[in-house]
Amino acid sequence: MDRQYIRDNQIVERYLQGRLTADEETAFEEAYIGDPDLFQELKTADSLRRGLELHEADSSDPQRTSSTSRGAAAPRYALAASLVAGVALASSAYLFTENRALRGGAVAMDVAPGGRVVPLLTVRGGAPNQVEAAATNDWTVLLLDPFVPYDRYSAVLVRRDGSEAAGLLSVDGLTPSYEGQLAVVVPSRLLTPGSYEVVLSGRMRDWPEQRASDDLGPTAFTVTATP
Amino acid sequence: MSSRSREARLDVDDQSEQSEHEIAADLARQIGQGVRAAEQALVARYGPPLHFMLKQRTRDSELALDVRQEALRIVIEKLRARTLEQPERLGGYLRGVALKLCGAQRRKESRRATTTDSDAIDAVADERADPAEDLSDEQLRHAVRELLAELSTPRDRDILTRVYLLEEDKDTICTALGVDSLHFNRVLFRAKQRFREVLVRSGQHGELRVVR
Repeated sequence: MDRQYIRDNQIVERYLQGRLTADEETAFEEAYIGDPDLFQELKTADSLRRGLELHEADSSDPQRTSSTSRGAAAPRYALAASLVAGVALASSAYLFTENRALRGGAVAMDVAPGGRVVPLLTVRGGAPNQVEAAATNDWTVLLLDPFVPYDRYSAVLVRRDGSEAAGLLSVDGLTPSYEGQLAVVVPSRLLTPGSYEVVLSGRMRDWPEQRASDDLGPTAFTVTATP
Repeated sequence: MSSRSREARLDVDDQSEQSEHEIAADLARQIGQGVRAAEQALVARYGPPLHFMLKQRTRDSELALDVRQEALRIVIEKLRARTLEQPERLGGYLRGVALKLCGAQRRKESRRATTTDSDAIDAVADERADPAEDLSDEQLRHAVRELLAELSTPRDRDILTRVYLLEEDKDTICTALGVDSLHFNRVLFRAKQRFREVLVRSGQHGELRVVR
């Protein structure tokens, strides 16, 4: 990421606002960590923003609204709130449909209590994660370490068949629980022998709606046939 | 002063002619040779931006300080053992370690207490937050008042307000105010430059510089 790109695309200001794409954020952080001049510009911009916010709050002109009231009054915030609500409704509808499909389909019916917990490790160079197929009507709880802290996470379970990928399950609103792990509950019958990935993404609560979640990458595992 | 000590005097000005990769590779090599001053140079160079990044991501200055310190310690130990495969990519590696530690720190507080290398701890022991955080609200208010008073047109003040307070994007601002991209860049650059000058002049923020 060169200086011209940073200037032309308002990278410094958008970074402070948390509005960079995941790729831009990574590239910019790597750039300023090793570049004292760029880091000083970032700090200057951060101080300027703080100063302007203080100045705005101090303003006694009744025509000028404070940050808080401006934020509440701005149409785009109302629009953002509507979009968030819409997304939440859409997610709920999707999960409801997914759940019905699972209950009505061939893969998971009459799910019985019980299940198993499978920690998925993401150690580079380590042994690949392997899970035995279980043709039972219970649950498999996949435990994942998100490594990077976010307020909430989403997970998509994908089955890989060569270059083909098929999404099997999507879960939103995950939060770390036991020892900071994320628990993704999957009907065991979905996990037939083959190659799978759980693709995680994360986002902070105060991120603007238009900012995409950070892609945290896939965690691969293989389901083997029961001996 | 020994040749090693002279070699390790890698302050920011001395590094200005070198590329980031060259500087990182130099630091890595010297730390591998046991030059303690190079470790201090590494902490001075990478510590503040690492803390800023962690604070930006965690919204927790104390956590950011802890993680920064631990990340620096891990990397210094790695450099001492000469096991870093691409030392020229030191910044990116530090960032990766720090982000992984963020997750690990949340998961197991006790994991960080298993440190054994007290020398490495000494090398990175700096509990101070970024000096920029020491700027008082009053200092910032003063600097902003001075900056706004000096801006030549209401339109330029409007650009700053829209960028930093309303968080509008460049295209929207340029269209709304009828300015081109070049003018927008110039206003933003000059505003930051002037803001830095006001702070430096008041002796409160001597470190600030603006990229040209």
